[in-house]
Amino acid sequence: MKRRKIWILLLCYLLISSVLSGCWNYREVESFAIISGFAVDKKDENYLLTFEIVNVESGKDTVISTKHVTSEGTTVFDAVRKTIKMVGKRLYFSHAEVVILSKEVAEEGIVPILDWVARDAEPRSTLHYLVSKEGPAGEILEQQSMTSDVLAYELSDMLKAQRSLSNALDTEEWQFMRDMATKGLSATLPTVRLTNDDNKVLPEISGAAIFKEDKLVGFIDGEDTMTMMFIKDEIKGGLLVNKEYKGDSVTNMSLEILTSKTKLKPRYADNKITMEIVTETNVAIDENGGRDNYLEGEALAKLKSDFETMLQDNIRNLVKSMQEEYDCDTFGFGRAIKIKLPRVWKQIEPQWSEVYKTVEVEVHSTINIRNTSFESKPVKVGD
Amino acid sequence: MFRKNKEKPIQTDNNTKNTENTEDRQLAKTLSENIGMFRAIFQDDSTIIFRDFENVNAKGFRCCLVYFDGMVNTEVSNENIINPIMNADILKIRDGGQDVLDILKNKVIYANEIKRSGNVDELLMALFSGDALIMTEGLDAALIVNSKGLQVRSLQEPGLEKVLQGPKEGFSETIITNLSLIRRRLKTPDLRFKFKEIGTRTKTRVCICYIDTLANDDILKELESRLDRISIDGIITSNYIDEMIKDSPLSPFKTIGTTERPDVVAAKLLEGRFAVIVDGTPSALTLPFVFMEYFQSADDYYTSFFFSSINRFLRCLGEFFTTSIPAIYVALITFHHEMIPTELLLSITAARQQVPFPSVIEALILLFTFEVIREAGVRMPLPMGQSVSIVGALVLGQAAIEARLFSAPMVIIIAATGITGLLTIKLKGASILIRLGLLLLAAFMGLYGYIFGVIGAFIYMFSLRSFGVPYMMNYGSINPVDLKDMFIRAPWWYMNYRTKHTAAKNVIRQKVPAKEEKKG
Repeated sequence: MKRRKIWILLLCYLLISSVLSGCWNYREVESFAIISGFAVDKKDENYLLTFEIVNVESGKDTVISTKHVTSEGTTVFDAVRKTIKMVGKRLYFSHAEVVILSKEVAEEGIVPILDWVARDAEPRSTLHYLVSKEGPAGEILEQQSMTSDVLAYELSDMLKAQRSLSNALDTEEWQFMRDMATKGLSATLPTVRLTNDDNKVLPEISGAAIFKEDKLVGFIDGEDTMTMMFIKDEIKGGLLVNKEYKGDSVTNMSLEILTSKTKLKPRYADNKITMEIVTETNVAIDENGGRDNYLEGEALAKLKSDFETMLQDNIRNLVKSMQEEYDCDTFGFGRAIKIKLPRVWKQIEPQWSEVYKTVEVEVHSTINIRNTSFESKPVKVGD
Repeated sequence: MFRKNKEKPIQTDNNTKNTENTEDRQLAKTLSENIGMFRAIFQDDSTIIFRDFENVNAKGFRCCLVYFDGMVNTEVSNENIINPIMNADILKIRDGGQDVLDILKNKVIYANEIKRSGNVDELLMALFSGDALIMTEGLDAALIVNSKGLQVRSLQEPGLEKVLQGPKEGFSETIITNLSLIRRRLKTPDLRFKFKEIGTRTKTRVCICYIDTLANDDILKELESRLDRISIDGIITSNYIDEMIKDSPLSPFKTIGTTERPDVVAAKLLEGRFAVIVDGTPSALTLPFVFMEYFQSADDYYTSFFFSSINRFLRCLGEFFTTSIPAIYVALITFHHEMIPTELLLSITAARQQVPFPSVIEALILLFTFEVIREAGVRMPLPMGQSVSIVGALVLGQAAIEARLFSAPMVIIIAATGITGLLTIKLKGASILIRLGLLLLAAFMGLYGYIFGVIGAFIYMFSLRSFGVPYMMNYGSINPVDLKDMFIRAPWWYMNYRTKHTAAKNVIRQKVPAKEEKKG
């Protein structure tokens, strides 16, 4: 009797534990196709998805290569599942890192894609999104990779390395969805296009795609993206490059950004909103293309003010074009007002897109030259 | 189910039947009658020797020396027994009242241990333990003379518990030598040796050792009663006793420790524990035994506490690895692919191409193979060792991977499992069982099943007790005093107290320094 009880208990225990557990399917690693990234295009009314499948072959040495498969479906998931017809294995998305959206898809709105990717259990919310500036997105994914075996992973490495270039703002899925949901902020995604380099076609990541709600409205180039990142306080590295005039000589100077901090300070007076943008950047002189010593006398102060003026002009111009051309609050002015001046925000919220165009901008940039790297003097030249 | 299949007591108490013919039997008055009786008991047995001799001075005074060949020291029996009896002037030294045996006992024989007895049973026991008997004409008694000359092994370094520093001598098979090794280390009258005889046929001598002023009386009472309940006919090694007196007899975990080292026994006695020494076994049982003792090595206490803490920690980690690595690996590669870094996943995928077995089956086969190689290594004669290492390393390792029977990562996992298992060799049996259980759970339910198994194993272990002491003693404690000898070994100047579970009578090991006393 007692023993029967134990058996029944054991049976319940096994049944309940196997039913209630979240992960119940036993799958060997070789039984599915690992997806490294996918591209979304539109073909008529349907979605056209191109997948990059990581293919591992093991002979004497392990060879990692990629294969591509394209499938068409009415919905995103439909296209994903239809690959089984061609591949024979189920696609596995947990190790995917990059999603490339074509311009057409982005213009129509990217909620349908975001929804599936966020809803399905496999794809991570740390997926990197890219928008293809020219041409179909699938074509980009089908190119040969340069440094690694898998192009999608290389694209993801390129995005991560942007922190020391600041020509594109790496945006992961959760960040994009957060920005999209925030009032008074328009989301952006980095852009990618194909460039010809020595008869080789290479993908290049630079610039940003500007979204209004979930629809693409335009592109800005890499330099503007850097300015945008200054305003958004997203700068983690990169260079400030300028020509320096001293008498007759022109010198190319590069300053390496060490740290940068930006504050948005909205003011409300006389029914008018003024946005004060205060940037403070610590830099190091990393390149002095000429023979003049900028550490002596007033040269340093001039160098400083020249760069400050350049940065301020850039910021002013970008804000202006954003206000006039795109009507997109990419910098989060609205969010800043909501935080700093909540009462004002309540009044202007309904007509924010009109108010946005009238926001005056006041820029104060400070550049602190912290050091001159390993050399304090310019290269000496003597016969 | 074990209870059902238990042997029914069909035998009609063979114990009494065998001893029937000698029980309460006394010697006869004549020498020839007595010799005849012994000859009848040991029919056709030529190892028993009857040596008749006479005294030079007293005519008609006949003696007989009885012993087993090879069990007595020939020199002692010749020089100290036969020679003095032959040459003694018995008539002269005789004074009234005393009979011949008393004269021999008191004035003639040179022996450190001598006893007079007429009980045949007692005489037989003396013969079996290597003593010689002297019988004389006309008396219904005999002298038991100590002349033991058994061949014994010299003290050697214990094979299973090697140390870097510290004493190198281990127990041998003779109980008296073993006890002397313990006595030598504990020069206190509080040290108690309590003898018992267990085994109706083997009459094995068993000794309970403890320090009276430290050890718990209740445990002693319990231990004695458990020992008294044993009625087996033979005790060959201490494991017979271990299995028969341990708590939860079906548990794969030991609740009684074994050690081959007298220094370890001395240290355990000083903690208030008990040791049981069994004649014929070169190791002692120590009890109560708690789980943490699996991870304690004698070396921990003989080398710097930093070094030994690292080693102790490695042993704990090793036990975790040997039970868990295969289970976690199988769970990761069959359920939780997203938890593996991409690069690793790709190389595992590459290695698993064309491997015919599912990962669990692969793990089970390789684990089985490892255990086979291990067991073969213990059993086979030394000259054959090479073949096993060739088969193990080349055939099973390299060739199997090249033939794509097994994947290389799995072979690495199983090798790591095997090696880490050797850190806690005494826990081997339990480790194999837990490993298998966790592996199967992980294969059915992934990490969820694995965690389930670990929780189950811990619940079980926390329910165990060894002679009333919780098996997982101090595991849940956060008091640094309780944790001083657990995952790390605290320096000796910190170990001021003994464990209260074993030495409740007197927990103070050393005087607490004045500074600490103020704090407390």
